Amino acid sequence: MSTTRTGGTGGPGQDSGRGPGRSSERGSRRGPGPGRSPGPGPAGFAHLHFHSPFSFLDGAARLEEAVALAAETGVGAIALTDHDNVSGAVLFHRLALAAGVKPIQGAEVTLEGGRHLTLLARGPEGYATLCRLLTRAHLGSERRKPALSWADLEEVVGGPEADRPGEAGRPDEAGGPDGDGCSRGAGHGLIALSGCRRGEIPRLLLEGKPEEAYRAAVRYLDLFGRDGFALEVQRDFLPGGRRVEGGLVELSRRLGLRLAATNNVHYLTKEDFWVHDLLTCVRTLTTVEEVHPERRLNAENHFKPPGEMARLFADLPEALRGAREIAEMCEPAIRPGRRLHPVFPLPPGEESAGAFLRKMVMAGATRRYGRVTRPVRERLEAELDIICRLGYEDYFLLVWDLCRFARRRGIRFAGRGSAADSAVAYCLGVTDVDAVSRGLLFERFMSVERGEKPDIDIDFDARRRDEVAAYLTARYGEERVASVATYNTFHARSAVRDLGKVLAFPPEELDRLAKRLPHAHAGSITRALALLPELRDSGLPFWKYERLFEAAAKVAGFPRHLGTHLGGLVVGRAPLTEVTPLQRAAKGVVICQFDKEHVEDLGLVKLDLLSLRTLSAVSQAVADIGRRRAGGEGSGEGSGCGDGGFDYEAVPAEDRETMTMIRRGETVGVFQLESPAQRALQTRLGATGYEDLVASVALIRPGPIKGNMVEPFVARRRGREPVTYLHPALEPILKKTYGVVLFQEQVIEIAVAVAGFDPGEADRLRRVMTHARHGPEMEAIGRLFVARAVERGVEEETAREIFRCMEGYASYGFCEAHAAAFADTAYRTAYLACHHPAEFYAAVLSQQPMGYYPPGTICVEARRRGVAVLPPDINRSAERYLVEDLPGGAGDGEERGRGGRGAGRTGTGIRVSLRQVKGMQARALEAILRAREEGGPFTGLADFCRRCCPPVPKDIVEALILVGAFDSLDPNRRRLLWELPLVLAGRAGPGLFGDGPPAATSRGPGGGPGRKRGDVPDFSLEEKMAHECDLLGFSPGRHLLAHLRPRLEEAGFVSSARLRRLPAGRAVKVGGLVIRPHRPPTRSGRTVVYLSLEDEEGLIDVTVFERTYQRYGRLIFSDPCPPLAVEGRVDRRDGATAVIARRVGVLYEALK
Amino acid sequence: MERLETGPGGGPRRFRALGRSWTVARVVEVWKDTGCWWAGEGEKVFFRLETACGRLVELYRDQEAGKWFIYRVYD
Repeated sequence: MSTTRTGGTGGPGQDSGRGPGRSSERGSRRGPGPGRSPGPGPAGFAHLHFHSPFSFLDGAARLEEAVALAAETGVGAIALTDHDNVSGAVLFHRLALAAGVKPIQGAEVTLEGGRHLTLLARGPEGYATLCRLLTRAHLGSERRKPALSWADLEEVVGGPEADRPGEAGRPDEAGGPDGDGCSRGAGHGLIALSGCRRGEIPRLLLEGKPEEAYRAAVRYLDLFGRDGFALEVQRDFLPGGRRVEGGLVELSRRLGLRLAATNNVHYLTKEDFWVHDLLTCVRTLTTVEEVHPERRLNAENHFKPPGEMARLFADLPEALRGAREIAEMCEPAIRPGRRLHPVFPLPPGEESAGAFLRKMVMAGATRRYGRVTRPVRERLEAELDIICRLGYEDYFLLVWDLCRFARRRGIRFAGRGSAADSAVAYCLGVTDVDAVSRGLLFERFMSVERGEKPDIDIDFDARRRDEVAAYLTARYGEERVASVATYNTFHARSAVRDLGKVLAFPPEELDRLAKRLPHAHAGSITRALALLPELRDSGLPFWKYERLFEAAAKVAGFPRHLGTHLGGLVVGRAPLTEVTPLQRAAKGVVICQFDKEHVEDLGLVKLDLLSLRTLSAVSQAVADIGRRRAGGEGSGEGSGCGDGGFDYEAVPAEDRETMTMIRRGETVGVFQLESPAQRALQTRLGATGYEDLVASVALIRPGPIKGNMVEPFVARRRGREPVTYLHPALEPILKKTYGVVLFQEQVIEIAVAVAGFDPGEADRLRRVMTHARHGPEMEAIGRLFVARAVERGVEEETAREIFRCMEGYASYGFCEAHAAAFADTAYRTAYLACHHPAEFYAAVLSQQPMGYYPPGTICVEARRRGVAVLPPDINRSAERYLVEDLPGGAGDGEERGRGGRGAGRTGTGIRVSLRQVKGMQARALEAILRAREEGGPFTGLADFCRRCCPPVPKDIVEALILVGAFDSLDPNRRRLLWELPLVLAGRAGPGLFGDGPPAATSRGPGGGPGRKRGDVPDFSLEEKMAHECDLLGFSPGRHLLAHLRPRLEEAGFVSSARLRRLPAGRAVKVGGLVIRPHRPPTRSGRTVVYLSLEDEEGLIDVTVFERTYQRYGRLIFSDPCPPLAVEGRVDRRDGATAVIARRVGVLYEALK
Repeated sequence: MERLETGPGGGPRRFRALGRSWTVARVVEVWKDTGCWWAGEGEKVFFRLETACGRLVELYRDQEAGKWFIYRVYD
């Protein structure tokens, strides 16, 4: 490729004597030599202004592709300059170094007034300055859009005395300046470029104000220093470009400033321009046919190869040289191996974090084990040794402290994930799984060889999780704690909606199309169209959408904006702005700019504080049980976790009744075990103990299902199949799971035992398996595994077979510790469901939405267990579901009649809450409860309206009437509805306290019958049930199917209870409300749809195979779906009952 | 455009249009316009020229068709 050198004809910008010819200094090596970072060779070009998709709808060049193109075409360095963020930094750094391209980190910063400024970090110090600036831009700006003021720039950047990047901390940290100080102000470590047309200087030149441009240039020069500021020249063929360039060249001459050629890259090739144009339209909310100033005029801003850039700037070689020189001045910004772990504030008198940690662990061990035996002590010592060697004592203390806080405040929590592999965590009270007794590998969690960062996840009572996060912030400081970000990316639905709108498709059409697309990768739409009947048979004109689908595939996975990760937090020892900018996300949460995968590369540790409604339900249930045992009334849940008599932590292990219940698949509402697949599995396994639950939690996952683990496991568990091992080395590893590979720990152990992998490689294997998509990577590791195994004397076919078993795990493998932790909660909630169904289901209902089933199904289950469901009552319902004793005691006849067989058997009922009413507002609910508290029970509709309206609006009162909340005062709902407007209007005049002109009210003050008007006939039972279903989501009084039962029986339908008694293979007709039809991945890869039909006695699990699904798929997945009738045959496997569907239809049709 | 001769850089040097010959003294501006790509339009390269006789003229070349056109003549 041709290069122009300083011998060229002198143009106005030709400098003299500035910068010696560098080529001779550098030599001709390209690519990373030992100890050298890659860089532009003498003839290479560096793209210093490049936008990736992290410029959120303004960058269409995938980082992977850009880096590859750079390596291919000899671009030695790229500067990543996304808009106001550095989110791509970690990924970019990794990709670039791997390809032999130098990664320079920067950003295009938005200044006040909307002007742009390109900033590049000269190294880690400059990167820290950049992060501080971006934080100011985001947090300092009042509006959602970031903006940096000149004062901010001056404060952060200006002068040697200003903010110096520095790291508080241990002397082993690599700190201090990175040797870039060559001129004034160089402590900031940045190089500023004058920017694109939206830069201050180019804009002024474009506007014909050269003197103002000069003054601005002087300002930047003073601030950044001569080596820290250059004029960006872009020859992208826009009108006025020559004028701007002329001005820049003049400024360069007058002020001795460097020129730097850039191409303001926003997409990879010229052919990609249209995708970028579409993204611009999405961003500016215009259609492709509308004009908008932000839409680019031409397709020049692509990743031009060095040859083209050289030709383009043939007459301005100093601009090319300037770009090269700047690239050479910069080093990668990310320092590998950096450690910014938090420091735990030790109590006074404690000598070190390690010593204090040991103290707390041993104290905890005594608490947990009573007598600390030698094996336990040795295990703890071994773990502590690793923890201290890797330097995580502070991290463990941080978590211990957090859990202690939660416990003190009565906030229920449960440690999950691989932390349960740690006996130290068990003794510190972070997890309730005993790693020692389970024989769990600590190495799965941490090991010296891997040096991997620990990652502790804890579930908290959803209502109070934020209290814990707030404690963390208070303890360590706002600058040191932030939430982790997520990248909200384009998937099939969002891509179709946004791009479709831009391409001017009618909104209803897009809506129909988008709703039917599965939640999938945007590149797989065309495939989905061919395979899914609900799309194929939808009647939509797919030929029109070709270009749309092509565009969707192009933007698949592009990030659109930053969001908050649900539970992830980072805590650092130094202010986080050393390594990441901070900004605000929705609800004002402060987030860093990296997602959970990337934060660790920055040297930060994270922990996950998650919200789990199940724990909220448990807390509520436990409090209710305790309170009812104590016979007390009153609200609140007590101050501590020890609640009046019921100790959740001391629930007996493997309680017979509970296990029997689980084995029968009666686990609606139970954590992790509710789904049809889980319920069937419990029966099929013949679950008798905790270990079965641990296995179940791990089995019903795409991994084991696709890897064909479930059937062999069941067969072996039931003793139908002999337990065999493909190789003797597998026996000790797989014995507890009957020879089946189930846990991640086992996968690692196999890799070590069979193929002699060292922990590093085994860990890589595990990671690859957790992030399923890496097809080529999996293959490579597979070949390595087989080769190594063969070396150790394993037969090749056997080795392949073993690896195949492990491979099926690729999408989602479960960690045994995690399964054990989940199984623990699953068992305990099952215990509650078994022995305290009223309190448990009341709590589950109160914490909705949660779990697998809608409230109606939970009510059916409660009733099935002998707990009545009491309709909402204006005088008895509260903001949550309450447990009530039935007036007649156990076996109350009336309640039994209402709810079907067995209802009210326990003598308790669950009172539907007022919050369940559709449209209920917090304000209205509060007003009702307060009025009742202050003035006693309501005596009638008029009384209610007088005391509560306003603020309770009319439509809520109507809803309350329609759900029967006033039934105890007046059972005629239609009459109340009719009277309501009169009652409300009657309030308007003076002196009307429930009495008014006779026509206005129906009742006198005492609640007794007032005037007799013409009697209004009430709604029919069906009408009432319809209203209730509409406004509550279910009918508390009577189930729809109970109502239809006589006709159903006549038509030959069987109920869920009767179904269980029918022999396998029998032809059968069943019907019910459709619950959660879904289409999970299967072993064979063919489609199978599972759904449940709810009737008054429980659930009927239905399986729909491919052929039947192709015919009835549209009906099954219609939204809303009417009650369905299913004809098929009884299927029973190991005791689990289901119906294999042959025909599916609308239930009402079948009853005609 | 009846006839057009380009210079070494690929830009217009001399051309014949509107019944007379024009000689380009200076290329003032060059820009490219991608056009309505969704409607199948192709790229055009525009030149704003100062002619020897002191007029300001804008020409463009339709890259796909390979043809030159007069766009604007300033009075």
